[in-house]
Amino acid sequence: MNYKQSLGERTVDWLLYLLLAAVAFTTLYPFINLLVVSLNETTDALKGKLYFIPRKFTWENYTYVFENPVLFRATVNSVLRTVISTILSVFLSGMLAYVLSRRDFVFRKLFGLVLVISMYVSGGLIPTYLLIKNLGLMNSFWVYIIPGLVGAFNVFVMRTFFSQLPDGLVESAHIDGANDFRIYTSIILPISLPVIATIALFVSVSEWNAWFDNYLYNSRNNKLNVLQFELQKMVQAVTNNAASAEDMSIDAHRVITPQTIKATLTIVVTVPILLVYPFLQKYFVKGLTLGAMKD
Amino acid sequence: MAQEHALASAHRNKGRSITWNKIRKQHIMLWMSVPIMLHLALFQFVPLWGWLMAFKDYRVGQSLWGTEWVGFHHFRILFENPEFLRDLRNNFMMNSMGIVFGTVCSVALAIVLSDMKSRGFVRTIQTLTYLPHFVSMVVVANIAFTLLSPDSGLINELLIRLSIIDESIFFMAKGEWFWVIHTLIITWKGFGWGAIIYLAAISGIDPGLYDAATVDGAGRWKRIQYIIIPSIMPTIILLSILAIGNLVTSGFESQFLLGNPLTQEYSEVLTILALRYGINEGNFAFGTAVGIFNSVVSVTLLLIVNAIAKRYESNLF
Repeated sequence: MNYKQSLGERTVDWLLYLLLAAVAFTTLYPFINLLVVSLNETTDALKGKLYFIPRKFTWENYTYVFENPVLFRATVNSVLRTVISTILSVFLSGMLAYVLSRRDFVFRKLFGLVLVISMYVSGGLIPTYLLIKNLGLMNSFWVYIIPGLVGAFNVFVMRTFFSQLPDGLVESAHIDGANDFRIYTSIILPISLPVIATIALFVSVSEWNAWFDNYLYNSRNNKLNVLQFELQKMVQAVTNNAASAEDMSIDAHRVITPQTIKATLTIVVTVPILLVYPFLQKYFVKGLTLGAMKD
Repeated sequence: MAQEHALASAHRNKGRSITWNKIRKQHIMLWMSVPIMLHLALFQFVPLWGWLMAFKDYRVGQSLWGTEWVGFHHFRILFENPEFLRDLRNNFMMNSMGIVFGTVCSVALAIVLSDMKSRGFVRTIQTLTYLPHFVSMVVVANIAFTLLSPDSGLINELLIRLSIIDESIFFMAKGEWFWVIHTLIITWKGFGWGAIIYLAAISGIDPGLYDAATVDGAGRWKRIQYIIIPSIMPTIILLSILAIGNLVTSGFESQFLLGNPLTQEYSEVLTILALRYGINEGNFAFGTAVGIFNSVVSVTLLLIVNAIAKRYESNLF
């Protein structure tokens, strides 16, 4: 577009740039603030007024977090559940998506319908809890992996992508004698990088961020705790303690963790996300708009 | 006559055998999908069996089938419980405030971004505003508690420095403010992500329209008013309609993490009620009844909305 701008229009332009910069600042600054707190000495941080640079710089909090055996174990659990779930979930959801993208598949309509229903109908919290209990998945690592293995939404996004690939691809592979499993693993998966990257991002982020299954099913066995659950315990202990200062009826026996340690742990769980999503931006924007427009 | 009949039946058999042949031919595809479908059925549909608990006099350790039917007894208890009505109100208010405010902010961000000429700048702003979407709700709760803390939280310090208030406010203990604070936090987390879809809709607008409008002397505001907003209206309506299924009963994570005993009157929602009675106190029937209520309400809303959308399809889409 090429049109002359008046002085007024140009002023509005600058104001909008400023406005957007302010918006971006409010989303970024809380993280910067936590970073500053995490790099400051603990007792000094209690005085507050830490804005952009640490007053008494130290790596102490990070050494504490990384050398703490409980948190180390939680880190291992978090990494394991994220990696295993992402690989299995992407592979299996993709496999179902491939089959459903094949127009000649006999049960295409039926399975598609079942999948849609599963998005809206579920037993709810208590019956699911009892099922997990009856399956013997309570207090085990596998409760992080098995129940959430396939997500209907992810299957639909992948199916949309696969069904837009040229038909000839599958047909010629069939003629060459490849079976459908081989076609999926050695043709479809490698050429579908954009959608695979998108779904892998969605799955890994939600696995990395999960804490409620830990709280609900695995809180009796500390060895199975994940990082987000450790952080959740620290964060909520504070509010409940603060609350009990005003209302004595609430039990206040939880341990308060220093603000600096909470800030450090927050930064530790945020950094891996920060290292991944900006680089996949062009993929997930496309994947999301594609999936949303089609369904 | 008989011959004809035999012929027809042979034809039918042939039809069926083709299907069997087809299934046999597609056995690899079946192996690829059936185990996954069974997994899905196990974790999505088998729990539906547990719905029986809400209609029976069930105690832990008994067989579900053998216990006595009590009809809608548990539902009567549920509907008479004042906490249920309170949580229903909280649930509805927080979800609708979140949808309205979130949509307004996402649309506004998308419109402003679409008007910027510097691609790099737009990309940077987008990347930054996606960040809160990707971090966990636990992290967001920690940020909220830190910023809003009554002892040297940044918001309190800022307000005191600007002489808006004289002494620190314990924001997270103010029940009456919880809905507003919750809406602001949820919107902060999601508005950048929400803008993606509106930006895509705006970038689909025919550039010729802008040029024509400019020739006609339309300024920025007129372009937004007469081209952009009408063009993305179908997307806004569609997404709002899809959100209606979740309007009344969905969500619990943000309320669970941000709420505390002092704000319970305003922060507790239905799923937390189910969790509290059902799992913490072992009253499975009550918890299941809450879950059934949630499912029935959201599926009903979804069906109604779907029917309305179909009726007005030509206007909407």
